[in-house]
Amino acid sequence: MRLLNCQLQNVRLHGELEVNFSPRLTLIGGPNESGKSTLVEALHRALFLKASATGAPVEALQSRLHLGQPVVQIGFEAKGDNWTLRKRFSGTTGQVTLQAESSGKSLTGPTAEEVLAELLGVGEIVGSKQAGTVLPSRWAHLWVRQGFSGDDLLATTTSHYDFDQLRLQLERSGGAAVQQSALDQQVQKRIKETLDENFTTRGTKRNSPLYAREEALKTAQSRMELALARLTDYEDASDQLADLCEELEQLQGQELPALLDSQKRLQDGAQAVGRLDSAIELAAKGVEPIRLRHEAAHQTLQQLDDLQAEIQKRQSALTALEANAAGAQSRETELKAAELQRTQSLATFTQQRQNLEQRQQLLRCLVERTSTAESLTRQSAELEKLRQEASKRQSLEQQLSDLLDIRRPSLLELRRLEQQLRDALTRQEAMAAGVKLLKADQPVRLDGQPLQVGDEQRLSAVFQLQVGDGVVLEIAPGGGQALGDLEQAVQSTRDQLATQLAELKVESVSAAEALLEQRNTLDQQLAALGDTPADPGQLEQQNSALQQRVAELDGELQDLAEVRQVMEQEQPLPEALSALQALQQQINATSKHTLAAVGTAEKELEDARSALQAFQTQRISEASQIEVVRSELTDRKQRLEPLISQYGDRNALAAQLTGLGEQRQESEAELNRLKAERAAISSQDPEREQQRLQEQLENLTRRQEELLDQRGAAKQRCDSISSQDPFAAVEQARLQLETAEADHDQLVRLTQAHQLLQQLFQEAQADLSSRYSEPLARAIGDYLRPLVPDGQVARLSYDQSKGFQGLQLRRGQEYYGFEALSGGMREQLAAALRLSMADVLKEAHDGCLPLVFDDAFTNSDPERVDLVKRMLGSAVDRGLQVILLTCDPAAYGSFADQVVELGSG
Amino acid sequence: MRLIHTADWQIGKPYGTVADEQKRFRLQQERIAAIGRIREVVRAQDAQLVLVAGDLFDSPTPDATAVLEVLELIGEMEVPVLVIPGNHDHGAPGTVWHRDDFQRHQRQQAPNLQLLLDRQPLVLDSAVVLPCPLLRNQDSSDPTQWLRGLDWSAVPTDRPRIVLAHGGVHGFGGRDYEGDEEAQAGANNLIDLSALPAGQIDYIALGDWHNLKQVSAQAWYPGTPEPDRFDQGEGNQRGQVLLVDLQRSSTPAVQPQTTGRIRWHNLKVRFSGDGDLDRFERQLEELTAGRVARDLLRLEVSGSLSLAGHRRYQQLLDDLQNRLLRLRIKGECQQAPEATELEQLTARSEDPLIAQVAQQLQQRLRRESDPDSDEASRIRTALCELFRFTTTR
Repeated sequence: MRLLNCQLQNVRLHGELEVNFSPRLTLIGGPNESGKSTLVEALHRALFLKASATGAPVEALQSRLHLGQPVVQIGFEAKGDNWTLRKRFSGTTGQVTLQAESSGKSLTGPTAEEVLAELLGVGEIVGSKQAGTVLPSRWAHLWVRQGFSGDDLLATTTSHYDFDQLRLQLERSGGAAVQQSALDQQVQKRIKETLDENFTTRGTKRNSPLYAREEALKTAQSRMELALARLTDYEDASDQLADLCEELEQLQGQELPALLDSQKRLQDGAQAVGRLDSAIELAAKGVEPIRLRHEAAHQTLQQLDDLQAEIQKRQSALTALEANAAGAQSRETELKAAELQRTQSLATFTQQRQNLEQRQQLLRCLVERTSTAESLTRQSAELEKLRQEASKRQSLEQQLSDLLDIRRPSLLELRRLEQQLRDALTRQEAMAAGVKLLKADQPVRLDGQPLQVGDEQRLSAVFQLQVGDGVVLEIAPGGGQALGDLEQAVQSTRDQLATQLAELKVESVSAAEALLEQRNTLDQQLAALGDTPADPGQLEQQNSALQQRVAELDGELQDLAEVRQVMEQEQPLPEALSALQALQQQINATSKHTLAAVGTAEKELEDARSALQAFQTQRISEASQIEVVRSELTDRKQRLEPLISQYGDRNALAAQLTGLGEQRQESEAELNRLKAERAAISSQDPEREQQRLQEQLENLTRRQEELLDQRGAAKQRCDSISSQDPFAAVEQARLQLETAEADHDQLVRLTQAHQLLQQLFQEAQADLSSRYSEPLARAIGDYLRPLVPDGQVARLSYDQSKGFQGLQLRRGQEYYGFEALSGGMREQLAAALRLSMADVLKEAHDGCLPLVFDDAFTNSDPERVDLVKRMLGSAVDRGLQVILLTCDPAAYGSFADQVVELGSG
Repeated sequence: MRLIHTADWQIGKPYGTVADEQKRFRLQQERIAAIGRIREVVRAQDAQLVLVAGDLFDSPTPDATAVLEVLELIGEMEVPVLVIPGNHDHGAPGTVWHRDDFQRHQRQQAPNLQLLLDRQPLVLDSAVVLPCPLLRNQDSSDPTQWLRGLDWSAVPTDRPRIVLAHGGVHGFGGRDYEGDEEAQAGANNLIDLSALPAGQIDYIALGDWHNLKQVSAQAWYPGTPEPDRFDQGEGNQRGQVLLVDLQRSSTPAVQPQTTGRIRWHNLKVRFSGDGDLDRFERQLEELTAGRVARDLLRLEVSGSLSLAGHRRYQQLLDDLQNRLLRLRIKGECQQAPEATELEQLTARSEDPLIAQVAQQLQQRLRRESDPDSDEASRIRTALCELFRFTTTR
């Protein structure tokens, strides 16, 4: 359905208005009060209000400016035809004509209204009666009246947005019909009812079957507990009763008789004590002598044993001592022999030592004699040599003093002068010029002397060379003047040399040299004789001392001649000093050894002597010891004698002791028994004991009474519980509990199953409704896409009876309900919803529906106008027709396909 | 001599697990009636003596009326009835045996009843009885211990000697009711038969084990005269007393005499499909053979049935509950929609919600690895409920 044009006559401020609509977007601009809303209202009433309607809706169209009834004519496309609708609103006389372009046939009256309703897809064209209620809802989802752009369309009833048609179209586009059936609803309702039987929103419903079973379970549980407690009570009471009976039996059968018995015995006790006391006294008296005898016997036996032990000990000491004494004689002899042997040994060693000492003396003399003799010989030779040297020196010194005294510096001066002369002569020679005539065709004269070919002359003075007759050359070798100087120097040197030689009285330099050589030789020989000649006097003195010593030694040797003889018999004595010295050393060594041997022998002798002495001392002491032991032994034996004679031998004594011991033990045991008996009868005080027993007896009697009471109580308790059969009660309670549990569990399971069903039904329903709400939400999202870049943009729910609800828009991560949005946003979201609905619905209207926005974006920011334009643009692209009325057409620029300006004319 | 050996009458057993009061009363009454049947055996067999080897009462505290009834019936036996207390009705002070009502009525109603609380030989004209009563609730000692130190030379040799005792024996736990969750636990006071002097004893009359059991040539458990619980498996022979012929120094001749009336059955069924229901029905018919209120059944069920099958199963159980004295069900027969039933839900294109929910449940059930888990059970219940809501109005 698409609007093509309209003509208004006498409608409010419009006397005559004709507007052509673009099939796409028509922008109707005009300031306030220019009649924009009037235009929209007139179109709406023409389409949806019967021409014959009366009352406020019609009156509102009437003009005060223009005479005549309001007439609205609309040209539109629908159901494949072009139609012209004309309505004159004049109350009950109002007229309608509807003409189809194809047939040219014109319909009027109710028929026209009916066809119109069909063309518009509404149930009926509204009459006056419904004008107030139904009329505003007609195409409310397509046409936005001024001031209602921010309202939530979904908050109204389903009739406001052609819900049935919308659902139909959604089902068509979504394939098979997915509508829940009546049975679906009925089953769901029954599930709910069944659950409601047992539950309220707060939990289990009071007095419901579930409540009853829960209560029954609780009752059964507590009854079970009670029964068990009662049974335990009974068992406790029964045990207690048994214990009481046992205790009572014990008390009556044993404790009490025992106590009574004790009491009786105590009463009998006094007499018995007297009897016992005398018996004890008697027994004590009997015990005493036995004890004394026993102890005496014990002592005697001890004495006897001690004596015998002592005798034995002394006897063995004596035996040892005597054995010692027997061996002492031979031991002493041994020791004496040893002493003698040692004495002899020492004498031998001493003799040897004396011999050696003599020999040592001899050899010392011999060695000294020999060495002194040798010294004497040497000194004599030395003295001789000294004398010879002295005479030689005298002759040398004589020779030296005979020679000219020429010294080395003089000779050196001579040599220098001679060298100087030789040098000067050499230089003189070197300055000479050589002349040799190699060839001559003329006569050549040298210093007037002819010179033959091949002649060669050396000339050191100026000379003249004459060649032929015409040529004379003066040649000066060495530069003229120098030659003269040289000649003079030679002469001077020669003179000096001669002077010197004369002074020294030698003929030539070489003679001087020879003379000096001779002196030097003599000097050297003199030096070889030593600087200072030794003093022969001292030597002579020494010599005579040595000779005197030799004489002394010879004397000594004379004394030792005997020794020497002995020695020479053993071996011939050497004469050489070294051999003598060796022999002396040997003897010295032997002597040293011998000396040590003498020391050892002395020591050994000393030891042997002291050993002998110690032995002798000990022997004397032992001898006296033997005497002592013997006398002691005799003494003990004497002491033992009377004992044996008095008591017999030891065995007899021991037997006697044992006998006495047993006797004593018996009597003492008897005494103790009597004493114990006595103690038992009257441990302390019979009277107090009597009192104690009485108390015990009273206690026991009291206890017995108590027990009897308790037993009675326990028995009563047992009987009272027993009569109600606690065992049966437990069993019955158990059965009840089991039944209650089973019943409860069964109902709980059933209830849980119902809850599961309810949950699944709700899920299925939600799933179903999303098939309706999803396409719409998606379409809204497409329109608003730039606002919410990614993901779902909007969502809404679907209910079969209540329609669409709960439109929400996502901002960020959260969804916001319609009411929570800003005014501008509400306008845009509502517009998107309308466009989306129109998108779906247009299929039932030849693919097009007209949407009217009367000042519908007044709250939108200027920036959002672009969004609105894009939204409307895409709606138009999808085939929808948009009529936008605004007081600010400039904001939309050249956006519209057609622009209509109101209020200008 | 000839005697009747019985035990474990368990009079006053409350049968608390039987919910129906009338049925409970009936079961209790039947135990008392069994005494009357014993009396008939005594008369018919001309027995000289009745031995009750413990647990005459079910508890140490039986109901006074029951006590009266018992005493009356025992009085009618007209021969000496020797009774020892067992573990259920031990002889401690405060128990029934010491109650005034018992003592008074016993003197009047059943002077032939002789309660043996002392452990000492009882010399009768025809026999010597060696009683081993249990005197305390918690008594772990062997009740026959006193016999080990007995001076046998003082016991008459001219008549048979009978040990009367209550308890399990070594090598055979009397109260070992494994698997019976209703049995009382605890087996102390075990009897060591091997410790008793061989040759000195001619018969050991035991009590405690509820089935017939010969322990040795001399030792017997008679079992309970009226069954009181479900089968214990193989060889469980209940509902009799023993007729014993005795002579000194010879093996006793023992013959069971039937006294039981009520039957206790065990049945184990696994349902793997609705076809098993027919078989189940036949089995029930065979067991009870049309008797009413004389049978108890312990039914162990497992497996699952279709929704329709399960309804029929429930119907069967309801009928059984009425016909039997007691129906005890162990385990559970799950109900799970069969493929066709499921399809009725999942393939409802006209009811998309029901179909989708059913599919959801089906998927969840498939994901559940343990078919016996609570969750699986919950899902199955939900499916069944959905089926019920959908198919019924």
